[in-house]
Amino acid sequence: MFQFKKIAKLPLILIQCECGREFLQEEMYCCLSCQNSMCRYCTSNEIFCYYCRNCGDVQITSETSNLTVSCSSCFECPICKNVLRRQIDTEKNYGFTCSYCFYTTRSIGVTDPNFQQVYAKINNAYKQEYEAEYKDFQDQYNRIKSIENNNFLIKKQQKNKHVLKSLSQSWTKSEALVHYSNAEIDKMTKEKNLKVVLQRYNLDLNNKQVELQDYNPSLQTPALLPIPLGLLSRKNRKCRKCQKLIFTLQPEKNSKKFAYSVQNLHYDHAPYLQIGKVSYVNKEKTELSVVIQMFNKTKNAMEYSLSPLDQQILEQYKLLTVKNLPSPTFTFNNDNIESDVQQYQKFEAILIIKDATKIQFAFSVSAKIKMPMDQQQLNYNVNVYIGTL
Amino acid sequence: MDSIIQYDKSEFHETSSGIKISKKSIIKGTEQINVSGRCIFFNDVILRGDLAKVSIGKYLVVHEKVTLKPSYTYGYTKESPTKKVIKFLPLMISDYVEIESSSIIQATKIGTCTSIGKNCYISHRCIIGENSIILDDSILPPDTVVPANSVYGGRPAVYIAETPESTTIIQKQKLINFYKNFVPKS
Repeated sequence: MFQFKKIAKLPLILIQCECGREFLQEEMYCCLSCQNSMCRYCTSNEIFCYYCRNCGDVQITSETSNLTVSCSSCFECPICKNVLRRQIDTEKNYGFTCSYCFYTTRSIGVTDPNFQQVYAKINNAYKQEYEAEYKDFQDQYNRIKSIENNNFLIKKQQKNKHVLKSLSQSWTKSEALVHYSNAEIDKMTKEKNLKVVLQRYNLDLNNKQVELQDYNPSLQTPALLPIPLGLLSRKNRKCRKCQKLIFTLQPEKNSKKFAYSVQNLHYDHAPYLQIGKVSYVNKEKTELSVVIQMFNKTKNAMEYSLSPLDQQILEQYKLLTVKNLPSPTFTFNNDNIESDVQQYQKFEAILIIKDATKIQFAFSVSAKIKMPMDQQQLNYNVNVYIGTL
Repeated sequence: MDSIIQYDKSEFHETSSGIKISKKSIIKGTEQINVSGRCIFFNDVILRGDLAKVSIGKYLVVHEKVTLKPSYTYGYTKESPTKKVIKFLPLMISDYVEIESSSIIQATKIGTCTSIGKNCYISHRCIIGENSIILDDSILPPDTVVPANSVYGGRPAVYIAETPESTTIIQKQKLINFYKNFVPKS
């Protein structure tokens, strides 16, 4: 998922999650039952639907049982991965083209006057291409397993005949194969990738070596078939501790759009911090004044209190003292709010530091939110990055 | 903290609805251009309203050397029912959009709260969804559809990532603050 922290410019205010990661204030989520603000990595995702990025075709997971991995009507260019579009020839044959690299299905021979027949031709071409390779793979796989079984038994017989009987009864087949077979063979046979299909084994039993032959492409001509377009997913978010929903999707009527029915952002339940001004106070440039503004962008009244800094934090960030840090609680209501102007309170903190190049300033915050039914409390840590001046 | 950008009043036109256009920009076909308000057009912006209708929302920021041009198709008209002729399609730009410098845009629709990077080329008949980001130096081939809440980039532009749910808030705040801090020199 994209992270806006990478684009944001200094000076910055970031919130630190319990896991140690830092995010912007708008990117944090909030669970009211746990009374905690958390980042995206501390939430769990639940897939709501799959959709095609080109045609917008939607498959909701709860409604459909036959879910597909790729779109049935959209394809991707095998060369440049751009989405293909329809093409009509002068002979009135349908096909697909890429508008970036000018790839066409006509070069493969997949065209037809009936457009739906084009899909059937592509599916048949895939079956023909991979059916032979899959059969080859199955034959090789069975051959290897039979050879390994026979070799193991033969070796044990040669060593101790009377011990063999007891061992063969206690050892299972899978344990025997693991004990004897090469680790590389086991990996490749388990994964069943195309790489395995393209390579052929030549076992040399006397020297216990495995020689692999490269697949000869001249024997088969790889056809550049259009790739079916993979589906993307839209997800609901849940808190990992209490499993309550933080973000839920709801499809809009008669449209392919989705709206959020439940959304709990940290932004909606906590005061919004902003840096107003950063400047030197002394001519010697040892004292910095940082003006921090707080906004209440929620619909409810809020009580806000700051806890004092620990000495460990002061030493860690090379701060000598901090002046004028407000400690008492103060409230700000939303009774008289205009559309663009919101009530805010300003406090100014003067920092005295040793090396005035880069500063990190941390303080802990607890905000009490007066909900109509219940009083909620959120605890979180804030880091202020000011950067070079 | 957003830095204040000061401009010369003599270099910019300002309308009653809050649109700020630089005098070095080229705007044609003003009759077919509808702008909601509070938009900023920097130097060397080319806006072609003479080809087709252009409708623009509020809080649009267009940086230097951007060309906004309506897209086209081949089709039949009443005047030429037998021969295919170029037809220009209307351009629609929604609210809270930012377009960085030196990019060329020929899309049909750009959704709300999107940001388009530097040196981008968005070719004709593209549709860009809401809350999406197009990275710098990317090329969108014709007829691409960028879904909502997505990040596209590359040559050709390809789906890279998903944007978080709070992109609307971030983009709105960024552009409202940019407009407020774009202030004439006293």
